[in-house]
Amino acid sequence: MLTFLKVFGRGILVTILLPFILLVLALYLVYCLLLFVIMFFRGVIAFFSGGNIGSELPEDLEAKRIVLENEKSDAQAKDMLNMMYQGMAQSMAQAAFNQAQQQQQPQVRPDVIDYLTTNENNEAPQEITQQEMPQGEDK
Amino acid sequence: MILAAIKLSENTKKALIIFFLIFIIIFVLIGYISLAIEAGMKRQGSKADAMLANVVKAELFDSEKKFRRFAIRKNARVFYVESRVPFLIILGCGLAYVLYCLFTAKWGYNPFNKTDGFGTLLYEFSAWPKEKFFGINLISGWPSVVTKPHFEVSAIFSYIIVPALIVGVVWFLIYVLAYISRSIRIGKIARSIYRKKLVADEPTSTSVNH
Repeated sequence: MLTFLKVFGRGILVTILLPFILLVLALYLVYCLLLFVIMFFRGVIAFFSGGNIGSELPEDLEAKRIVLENEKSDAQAKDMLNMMYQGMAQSMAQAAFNQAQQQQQPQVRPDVIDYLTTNENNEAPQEITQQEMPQGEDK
Repeated sequence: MILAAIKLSENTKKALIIFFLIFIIIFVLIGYISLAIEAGMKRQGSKADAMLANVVKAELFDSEKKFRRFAIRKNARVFYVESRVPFLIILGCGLAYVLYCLFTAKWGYNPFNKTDGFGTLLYEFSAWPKEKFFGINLISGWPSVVTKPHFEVSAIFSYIIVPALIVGVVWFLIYVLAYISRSIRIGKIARSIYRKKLVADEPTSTSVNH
């Protein structure tokens, strides 16, 4: 109901303002006719001087060139960033893999390895108790 | 009380109801037509965005004045290129009319007249019947038909020229409206891009910290 009343009110407003609207339209019509005639003569001059009035203005061509250049440099910057991120991701993945590998293997102390591998009497290595094991630094 | 004191006949009441209904319908129709025209003008105006997109993206102009000058030039070119066809149609109709008058020696021939013009294809009605309601002459019925549409051989020229002229004029008017819509849109774009508004929060009288 409200929409109907709004449209009705708009209709009354348009009817009251119609003479002014038509006056503005008539003035614009005369202006556009004159504009057309002026553009026609400019078109004729442009035609005989090798140009075309329907073609793009120099500012349009300049703007297109700038926009294309900006798009190219944006694309190049994006490619570089992508490569950087890929490199970083790869190195992070490799570091995580290496850490996982190290965690799986038990770490043996170097002095224990030394003790186990060297034997002056060439005897079979005896069972080593906890007390006999050389005490190194606890890492 | 005043309305109750006035005695209206059944016919008068019916006529008043019909009159008010027609009154409401006419204004509602005008309202909807204006809404449709406004929507069409907004759609036409949005073409200005496509026209100026590259120039705005490239930030080619550093002032509103230069931007508006370029946009007006561009708008004029677009209007000229668009309206060449309807202008040629109107020009062609004018040329054909001059040639017709030249060959038939009927200078001052009215192609819209009702005897050998386009008026032969239209209904002709008598005057609207009116009756007095409270001292005012109001329409009280439908007019009668005086002439029905009929084909006249002598009016063939007007049957071709008049529709072509109407098409050309309406088409040109549509492009004039499009030019107006784009001009309005250019003004809005220029204001939105080049006029920056900083809204600062001002301390009110009730604020504690001064």
